Amino acid sequence: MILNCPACGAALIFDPETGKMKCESCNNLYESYQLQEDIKRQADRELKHSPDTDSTSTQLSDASDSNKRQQKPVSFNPESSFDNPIYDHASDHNEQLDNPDISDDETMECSIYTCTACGAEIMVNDIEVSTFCSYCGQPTLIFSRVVNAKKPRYIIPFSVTKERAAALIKETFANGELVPDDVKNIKMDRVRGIYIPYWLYDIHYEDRQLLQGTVGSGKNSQTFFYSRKAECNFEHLAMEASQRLNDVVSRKLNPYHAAYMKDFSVEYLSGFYSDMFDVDLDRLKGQAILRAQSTFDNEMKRSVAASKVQILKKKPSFEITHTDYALYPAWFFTFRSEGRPYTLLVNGQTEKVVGSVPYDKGKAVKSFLLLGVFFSVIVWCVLYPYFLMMKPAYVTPLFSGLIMAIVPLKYGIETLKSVKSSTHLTTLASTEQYVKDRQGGN
Amino acid sequence: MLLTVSLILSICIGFSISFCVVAHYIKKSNDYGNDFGEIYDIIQSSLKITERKDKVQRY
Repeated sequence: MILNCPACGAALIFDPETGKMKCESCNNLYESYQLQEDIKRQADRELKHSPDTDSTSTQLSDASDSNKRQQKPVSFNPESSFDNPIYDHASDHNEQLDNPDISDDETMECSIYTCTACGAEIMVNDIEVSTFCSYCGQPTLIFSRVVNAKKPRYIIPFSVTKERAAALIKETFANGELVPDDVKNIKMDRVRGIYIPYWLYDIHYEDRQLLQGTVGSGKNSQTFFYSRKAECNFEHLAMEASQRLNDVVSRKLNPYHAAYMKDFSVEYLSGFYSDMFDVDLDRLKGQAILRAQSTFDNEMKRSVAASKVQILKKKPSFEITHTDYALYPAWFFTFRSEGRPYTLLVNGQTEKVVGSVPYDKGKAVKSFLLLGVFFSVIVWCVLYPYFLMMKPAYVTPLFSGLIMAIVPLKYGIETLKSVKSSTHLTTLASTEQYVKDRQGGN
Repeated sequence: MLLTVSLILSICIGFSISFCVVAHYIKKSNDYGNDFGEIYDIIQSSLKITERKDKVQRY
């Protein structure tokens, strides 16, 4: 389904800057209520002919069609419970299939839709809800997916435009001295605005805890005990519901401000990509509770005016009072550097940039050597007179000095490990695939 | 002897600090979005501590 401009007929897309539907051809803006009749008419028409709802679906994994084309006999499995023995063979009994040219690895499940603008066939996977036609580039909504599957209750519409997101990325990395020049001026391979599916959990959490903390330092330190009873209502605790997107990557996009969620309406999707959930609500319940528990425990520790706070005992009880399904926005930018794919993300609501870019190793080594010489001279100017003063008892200061050398080295190693871990997440092939497996757009 | 020891120690400390500074700078300029800035706005508005006992010496 494509939403058409009432004035000139061109496709309408959701404009993050104005929050309205915009025609890119005549620049007219429309409120959502002005398009409801057109949406309803197109939706009714699409539902009648949707591959998701009628038997005219073209499935590329249909082995019967490929067998017909190749005109090869297929043996019959007498134990099959299906009318069509070919499906049974394809899924469970590969060894009995008399057509060895087609295996499960060579087929894929997808659905074919017809673009209402140019008539081209659009191939979509089983969870895409909105996409672009790869022939005419028009934004396309798979309305039947929204109706037949679970419809999102809420959506946070994009409030960051593509240009603003690209500018943010450039600004973020432009001033880094150790960012290579070719990365600063990089041309993005793909830019995709994607709505990510989330399950939202409302959790009532209560706990009675016994904590221990230390007050004072050195010889004057004392250990005290603290008890707390507290309750908290977590509202709209968001858990990302897409298998294809790495969980750590999506968590880094947080926070999304749920207070600005709107009731879902299909026109928000126009001009962007979106997926349905493919992780069940029940599968994420445990993780949602763990996240609520971890946040609650941290707040309990913060309420204690002491150091080295530990929870000694707790008795939590919790209840998931409500769940909802929502779509949250993110911009994905991919580029290649030295043969590796990088995917940078921008939170489509809060403008938070997530990702790690390569650093110029030559410059880093040069800086390390120059700074090393500089600090060495300064330290020696302080240390040598001190050793002369302490002579002959300079062994203790010597050991102190060694510890002074080890501590920053350890911090530096931890920091580089963290950068390496971030870079690994940014260069994940699965994240690049999450962006690449979408047609059209730019 | 003292001169040699102090030189070696100064070089160790100096280059260790330099390593730390460069690593920190790489993280600051090349790596973004590492805070899981999450639901603290939710919890701070709805958390209610109903019982509180502080600095109890025994339990």
